[in-house]
Amino acid sequence: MGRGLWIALGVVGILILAALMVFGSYVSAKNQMVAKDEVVKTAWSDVDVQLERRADLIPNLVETVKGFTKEESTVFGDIANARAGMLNAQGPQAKIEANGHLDSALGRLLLLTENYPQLRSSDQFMRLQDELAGTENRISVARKRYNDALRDYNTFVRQFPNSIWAGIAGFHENNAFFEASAAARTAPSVKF
Amino acid sequence: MKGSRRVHSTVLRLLLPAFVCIFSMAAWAERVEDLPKPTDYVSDFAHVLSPEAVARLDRLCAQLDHSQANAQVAVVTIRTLDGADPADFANALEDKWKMGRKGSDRGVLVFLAVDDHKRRIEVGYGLEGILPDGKLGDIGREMVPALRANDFDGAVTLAVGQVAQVIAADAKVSLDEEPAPVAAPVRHASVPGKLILLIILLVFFGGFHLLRFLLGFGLFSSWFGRGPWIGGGGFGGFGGGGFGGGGAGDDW
Repeated sequence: MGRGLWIALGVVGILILAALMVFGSYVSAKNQMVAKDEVVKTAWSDVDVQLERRADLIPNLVETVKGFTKEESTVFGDIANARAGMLNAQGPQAKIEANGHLDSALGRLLLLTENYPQLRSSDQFMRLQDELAGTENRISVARKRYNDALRDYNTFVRQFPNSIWAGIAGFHENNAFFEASAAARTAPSVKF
Repeated sequence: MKGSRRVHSTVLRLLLPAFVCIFSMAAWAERVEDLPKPTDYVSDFAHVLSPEAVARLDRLCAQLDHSQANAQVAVVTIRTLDGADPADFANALEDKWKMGRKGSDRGVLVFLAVDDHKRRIEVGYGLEGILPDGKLGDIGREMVPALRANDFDGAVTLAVGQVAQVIAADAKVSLDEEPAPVAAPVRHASVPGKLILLIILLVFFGGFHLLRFLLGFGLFSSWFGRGPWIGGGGFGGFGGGGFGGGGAGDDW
């Protein structure tokens, strides 16, 4: 009789211990997922700031170019639309896509300036170009940090046993990676 | 015996080109991971700067580092990027060296890839406000005539001087530009006093470096790079500054 009770107590003890361990694993996984998710969000907001900074530079750039070219071009309309799309986009996925459109419109605007050597050698245009290139570099730095943070988060969420806890706690794999768009990667070619 | 010797020579014949390849790669394709730790504000990996110019730049950088200006400037020259993007290279280098102090992020990188004719000046978060990209672009463009004339001393001195002026003016610090003697900050001491201080300085400097070398970095590294050092101080390592990719650059 005494022996049966001891066995029962032992089993209960082991079960409690196992439950505690499982709970501990859940709590620690969840806390880490919250932390990593925050890192991703912070990294994205850095990207966002730089994207907006670039959108803010565009009206100035367009005005400068218009002042020199004195001609109507569909490029101006396109870039205004792309910029509006960028500013209206919500969430990483949509913003990344809108940014791609803005990249290609901007590429065409810069291509247009190739025909105006006077514009290209003006101090104002050169400084705007510096700001634009600097902002693009900032975007690429922020983008790399964001992708790294996202990769770290995804790896954690997909590893066992975190994968189970992630499902329960509602943390899902997030594939909103920010790849450089084709337009930004290849400089516009100039034809003579 | 003969057979083994033949094998030997074959192996050698195969290894030699491999070694040559490895060495020539190490000499030409400079990658950020391969660069040694900085031992000075100026890292002239391309060997295009004169010792006098380096000394002059060091003096200026040390003043910025160990004063209210609180800015750490790194001058880096390499031969070639081997097709890599200069901005990417600069970003990776900033990530690795972390010019500027943690928190204030007042770091500057003046970068030249000599054979590629690429120039670039970048600043950390803490300096983006007073040195916007357009201003850095202007400074960079002012370097071009000197760069085209292969006057690297002149180009780098001009760029660092301009950047230093902006930082010093903002921090309300006056820079001592003329080539001062080693014991510049103790100008008021009498001649024997100067000499004694110089000896003490030398002993302390040598002693600390020796101690640091003997005891390893951990214990003493925190003493360095802190400042203010007794006589203004020299290079004590870069200190954890953050960069966000601000800056400007182009070809020459």
